[in-house]
Amino acid sequence: MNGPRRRGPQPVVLLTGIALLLGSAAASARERPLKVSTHTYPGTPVTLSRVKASLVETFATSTQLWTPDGKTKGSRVRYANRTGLSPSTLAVAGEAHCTNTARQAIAAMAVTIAVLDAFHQPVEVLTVQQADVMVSPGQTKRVTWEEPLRAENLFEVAVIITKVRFADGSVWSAPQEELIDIF
Amino acid sequence: MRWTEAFSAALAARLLQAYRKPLGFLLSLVLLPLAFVATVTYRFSVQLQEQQALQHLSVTARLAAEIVEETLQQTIQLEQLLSRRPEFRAALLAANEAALAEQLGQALTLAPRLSALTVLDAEGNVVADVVGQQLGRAAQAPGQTPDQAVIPEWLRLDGLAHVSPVHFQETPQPRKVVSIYCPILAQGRVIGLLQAEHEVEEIKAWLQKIRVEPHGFLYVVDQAQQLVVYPYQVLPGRPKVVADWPTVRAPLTETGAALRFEDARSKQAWLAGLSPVAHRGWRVVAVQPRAAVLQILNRSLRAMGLLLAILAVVLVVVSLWWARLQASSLQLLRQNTKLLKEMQQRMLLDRRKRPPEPPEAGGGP
Repeated sequence: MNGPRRRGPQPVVLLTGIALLLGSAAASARERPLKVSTHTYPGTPVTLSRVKASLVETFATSTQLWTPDGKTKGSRVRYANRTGLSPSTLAVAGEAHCTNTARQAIAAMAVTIAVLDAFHQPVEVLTVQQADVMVSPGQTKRVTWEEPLRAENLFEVAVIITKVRFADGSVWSAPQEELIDIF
Repeated sequence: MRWTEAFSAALAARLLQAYRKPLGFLLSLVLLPLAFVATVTYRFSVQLQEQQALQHLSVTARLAAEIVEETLQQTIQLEQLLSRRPEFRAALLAANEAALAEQLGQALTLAPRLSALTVLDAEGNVVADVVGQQLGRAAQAPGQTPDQAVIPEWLRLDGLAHVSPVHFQETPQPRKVVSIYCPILAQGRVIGLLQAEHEVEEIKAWLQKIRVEPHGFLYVVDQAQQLVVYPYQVLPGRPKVVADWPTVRAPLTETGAALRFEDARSKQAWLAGLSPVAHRGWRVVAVQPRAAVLQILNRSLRAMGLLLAILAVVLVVVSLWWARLQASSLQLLRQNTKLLKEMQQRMLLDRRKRPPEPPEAGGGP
């Protein structure tokens, strides 16, 4: 007559969902816009405009944000009591519009990103090579980048063009002397 | 006294004429003089504020220069103490690297702000080299020849300690250093050099306690017109030569200097106080934007100016109202005068029109 009640598919679906969630890697990330400044060496054949940068923190596991026993902000010791969790990775992502002010077409350029702390001191310097950009004289091209960071205590970034390769093969390099702000 | 009476009369007539045009009266006798006084007061205040700021900057630069010199002098004294020890000189003459390294190591523990101590022989070759723990480079091997360009000939000849211009070391990591050379003398002749190395970050740390508020800062320039310490570095590299900066071109006396200049990049006006670092050829510069110096003054004078403007408007409104009142009184007086005249005229006319009164009746036989 009335047999035993059959369990619905809900527990199976729930278990599958949890398994998928735990198995997924790098499922969440957090992005924070950064203060950006641009600097130009004398004689640079490229001008920068509409520069943006942001700090991207990518979490290794999707549960990292809401683990009950851990803190996600305001604590230096993030992972000491959260066994089995990998630390998140930091990267700086950005874009810039580069205008060729030289008489020759540009084939490639190197963009240096100086990561500065809150006290105007460089903590890390990254160089990104933009190959095969092909910017004609007077033309503007948008370049983007995303580079991993080692430093966490960054406040702002400075974007500088440090090398340019022209279509004829000649290369312009920024001078080796230090670059300063204000004066 | 006749001319004073004539002058007073003329002035009274002018004032009366001007009084009939209240707006012009107020403008010429109240508002314009007020604006003139306000402008003169503002210019005088600005000049005074700038002079005070220049004095403060000069004092700040002098203080920083004294700190730099005192710290360099401490290092020189340490080197002199070390170089005058008989066992030290004996070890150098015997080229005993181990004994020298031991003594250098002991000295380094006493002066942790030094990043390295090196002994060179009279030919400039390394005899012993001890580096501090914070330094990333390995000690130089004996016999190695360091960069001869930073050891000028006069060091070997005059027997005095000298501070080198800032120089750049690329390995193991890019850094700017300053070397202090102390000659090691034996029987009146130079037998070697003791070189103490300061990282520029160390020199920056000496000056960090001094602040130039608001929005000002300090920097140090060496005898080769290179930046030693500068707080706004974006990319590290070789020391920047700043011989073309107005604060570096400006002549400097023992008591220092002060100047106003315009930044070539942003065309902003700046104030600067300069001070030499003893006789080393270095200079410390304290700078502050002119706009920041006048910020507080402008804020307070702006508030006062606003109040004066409101007062002037109130004065104009009240004066116009009073002038209107006076005008209506004058109008009433004019009307009454006119009515009186008309009445007098009517009375006169009536008297003329009236027939002569007959003589009085009665009084016959």
